Amino acid sequence: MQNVLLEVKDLHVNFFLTEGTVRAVNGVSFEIERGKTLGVVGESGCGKSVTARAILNMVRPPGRILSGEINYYGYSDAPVNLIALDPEGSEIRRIRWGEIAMIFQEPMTSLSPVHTIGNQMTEAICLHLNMPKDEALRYSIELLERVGLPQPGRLLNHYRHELSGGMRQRVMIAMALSCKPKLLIADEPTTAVDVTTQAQVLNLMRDLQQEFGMAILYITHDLGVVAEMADKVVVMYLGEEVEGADVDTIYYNPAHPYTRALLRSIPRHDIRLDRLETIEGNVPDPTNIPKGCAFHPRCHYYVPAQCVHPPYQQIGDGHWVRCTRAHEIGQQSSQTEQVL
Amino acid sequence: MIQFIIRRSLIAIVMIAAISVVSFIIIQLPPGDYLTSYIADLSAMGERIPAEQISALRDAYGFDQPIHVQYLKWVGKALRGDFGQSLEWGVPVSMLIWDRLGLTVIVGLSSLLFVWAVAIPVGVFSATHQYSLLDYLFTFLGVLGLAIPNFLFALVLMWVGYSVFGQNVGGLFSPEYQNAPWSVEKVLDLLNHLLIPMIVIGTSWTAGLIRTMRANMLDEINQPYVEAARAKGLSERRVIWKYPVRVALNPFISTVGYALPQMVGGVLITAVVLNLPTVGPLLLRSLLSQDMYMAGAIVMLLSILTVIGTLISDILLAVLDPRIRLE
Amino acid sequence: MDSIESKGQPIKAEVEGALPVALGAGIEDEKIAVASPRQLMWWKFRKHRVAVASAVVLVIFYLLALFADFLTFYDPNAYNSDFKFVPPQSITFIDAEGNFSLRPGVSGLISKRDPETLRITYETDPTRWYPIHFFVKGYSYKLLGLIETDVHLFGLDPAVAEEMVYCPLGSDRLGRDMLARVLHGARISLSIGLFSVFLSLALGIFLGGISGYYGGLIDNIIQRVIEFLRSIPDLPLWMALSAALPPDWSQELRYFGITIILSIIGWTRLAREVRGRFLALRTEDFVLSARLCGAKDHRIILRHMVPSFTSHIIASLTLSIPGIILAETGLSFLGLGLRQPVISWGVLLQEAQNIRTVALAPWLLLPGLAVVITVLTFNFLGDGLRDAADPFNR
Repeated sequence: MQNVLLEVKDLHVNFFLTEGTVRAVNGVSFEIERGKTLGVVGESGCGKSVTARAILNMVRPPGRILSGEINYYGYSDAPVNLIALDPEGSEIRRIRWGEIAMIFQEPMTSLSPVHTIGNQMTEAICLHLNMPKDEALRYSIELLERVGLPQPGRLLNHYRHELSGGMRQRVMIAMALSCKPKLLIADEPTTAVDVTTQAQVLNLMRDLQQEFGMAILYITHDLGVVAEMADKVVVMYLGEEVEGADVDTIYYNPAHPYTRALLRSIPRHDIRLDRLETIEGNVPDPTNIPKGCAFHPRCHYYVPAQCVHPPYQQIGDGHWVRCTRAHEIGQQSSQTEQVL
Repeated sequence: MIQFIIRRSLIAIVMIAAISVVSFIIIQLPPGDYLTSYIADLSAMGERIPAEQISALRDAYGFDQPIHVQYLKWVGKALRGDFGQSLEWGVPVSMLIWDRLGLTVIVGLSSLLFVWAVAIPVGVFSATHQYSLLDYLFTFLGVLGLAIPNFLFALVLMWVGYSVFGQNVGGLFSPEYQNAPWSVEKVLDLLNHLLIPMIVIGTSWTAGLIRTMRANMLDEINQPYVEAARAKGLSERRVIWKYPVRVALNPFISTVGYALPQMVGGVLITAVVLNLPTVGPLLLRSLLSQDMYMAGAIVMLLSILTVIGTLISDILLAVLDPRIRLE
Repeated sequence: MDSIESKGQPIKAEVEGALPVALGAGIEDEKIAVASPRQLMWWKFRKHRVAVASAVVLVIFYLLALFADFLTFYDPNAYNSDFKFVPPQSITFIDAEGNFSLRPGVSGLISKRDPETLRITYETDPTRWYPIHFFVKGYSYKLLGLIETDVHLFGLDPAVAEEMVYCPLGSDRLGRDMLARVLHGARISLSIGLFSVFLSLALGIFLGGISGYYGGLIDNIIQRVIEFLRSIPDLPLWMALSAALPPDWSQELRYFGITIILSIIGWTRLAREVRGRFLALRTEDFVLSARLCGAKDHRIILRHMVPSFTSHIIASLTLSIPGIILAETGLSFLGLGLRQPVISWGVLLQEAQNIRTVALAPWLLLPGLAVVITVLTFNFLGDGLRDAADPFNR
């Protein structure tokens, strides 16, 4: 337990909409170790972003955290249950950015259109590090330099629309690192930037992780990116974890049909396929999640009698799966792979 | 930025030129020219005007010349502050108009301040407490304010004032200050009297602007940059007032720009009911008695003030919003 | 949003993608999938309770206006010097002997003159009781302008007309029945909004359509004119133009004159709306294909483009009416709009200009209440229609 930085235990988050209640996060548990990277993977609407916001206790109405624990072990003394804190109180506000920082999916809109970069950067620095304004500005220049932005001094007086997409995300990263957080939550940080920029941003994040020794919670829908970044991976589907393991197991020995389907839908240069595989069907209406196994309407391996409420069970060393047929599928897959 | 101001100012000048044409048309609308009615008026009172004087007047106003020459002469005089002779009062229009125009601006500006002071915090509250009981209440009061004509609201307030407190709530000054020179007491008295017109003119606008502010806020409040600010550990109050409010204010200010033309109407009609010494009652009287130089001057000056107000709000917007500045 | 309606395409594909999350899966989905846009709009509108209630209220108001002569007993312009400033009278089921009567009636009135202020006040006199009759004969009029008749829904026995009146909403300074005046006023006030808005619409579609369809120089000129008209205060302009209407014009001419004046500003808003839609639609495939088929400009505009935004235009129209009604009321109140003997709510409110009169007879403000309710309901209805006009939007 000594290495654990953050522990999420049986987290439930609901969204109360007029069309019905959405169980956005339905009993999710995982751990993040110090200095390591956990990847959370899933299609949009699977609850991964909501989980991230729950960690900062920032779930806004109509959403509400129903139950669970999120224990933060970053302080030397006892753990703090983040979701038990007052979401507008000073304790959680000290942890936000100071201990756990976050970068967002869209660098464009996560910067204010009418405030300068300098204004937005120094704000958190002054607040958490108790720096006077001019010192905070000098420190901001250092940070911007560190993330590889040219002319950082001038940049401070710029507005978001004067920057390119890659620059904006670098600014966000510099901002997130400003208070030396122990955990960085990255919510699809490269979705909105182009491919070359994506590689740069990922490299930057890895370098900075080494340098600052922070843990990263990397949220994405892209298993390819996770392979580069993560030490461990959790796959989510409709608010539940369906598979969790270290990154090699997920890639070379996936046990859940959903994970396998996701993997097959990544374009690969080593295997030539006539057409890219897709997952059949659509993500179901979140207000109306299928009964039994939530994935069954889209699953090739579905057997009505067998697939009833699969539990999340361990099938190997640190390898957890929510599928009653995981063992069979594992054997089957090694056969097919040989055929290929 | 300077380029922006210059361009906007040029547009405003073209607008003002167009306004002068419209005002001149208004003066020309009733049958017969000013001089004919003036002479008819004087001879009705048994006065005789020497023929030379008539022709001198004709010359000065260019009545015998083509219409565009008449217009140019009129504009030339107006530029020097001479708006012609008031038929009804027998004195130059400019003598009567400036004091009242000043008070009109004061009433208008104080109403605008009232509207802002109410609409911004209420709009922010409604957006941050969407679908709460108070949100519904504010929305309803807003729509109600929109639906009640200014003059009716003024009448009702006067009626209440008259029958409950037994006093006349109209006017801008108590009788003792009516003709007194300006002093601290007179200003205080004015402020006291401004309250009712402010509320009357304000309510019909607060409604719409609360709605605008609320809608703008709702557009902004779930933006990632707000979430980012919250994730930075800022207090909720600071998150809201520094970010979404600041962004939502921009379209709000431009709304004020185009609300201004209609607000002037509210100021006018309320002034008539409450008998405020502004240009409202003067315009009404001059129109009813076909005192067209007076009416034309008032319409023109009100329109010019509106255009200037819009210009100021445009410039203010550009100062506040870096995106517009760059355009 | 482009309308699918005009393309004549089944809308199934679009709906399947857009709606299930919003409305929940199941049978409902299939119903929605095959519904026409018009049906979808109607369903969406029906959900808007306040808008539906407002529509009902407005229909009632228009019916009241239409049958004003039948529903009221007194000629709205008839003076009655014996019964000035009568407060609204309530009905009672207790007759003069104190017995219960199934037929409603009104108690008698005793007028008193205050010796100091010389004002007339009324007290009810329960010893006299006048029953209310139904389908009584009164002044003759033409029902719906067609059928000559003198039957009115209710009223007192014509035989007691000398000694008693029944004015449910009171009477004014000349003893005219307020109920009759408010209902007859509704005819003008409710119709001027409609006429003026349709005139604005014609102008708006014509100029906005040209502006949006052709673009370029014409667009530029029209847009500058709109900007100009919108940037100058409207009320002073309306006032000046109404004041310039020749005083010798007949009532009908004056009515149309005011209607035209109110449209002068009103068209700009609709023109903007129409232009915006045109600009959005101009590049749509179905417009392009119509042009490739060799359709003429006016045919493309009228047959292809206009139908695809009618629902938005209807919503905009509805939201424009309250402004016109308020403007007419304001102008007439100031004495620059319609004038006696024409009755509109604004003309009626002119009677309430003097605050002493209002304090004495607050019921003179009732036409104002009618204005407020009408404006409110038009606003609610317009909001509902605007939401329904985008049936695919949540």
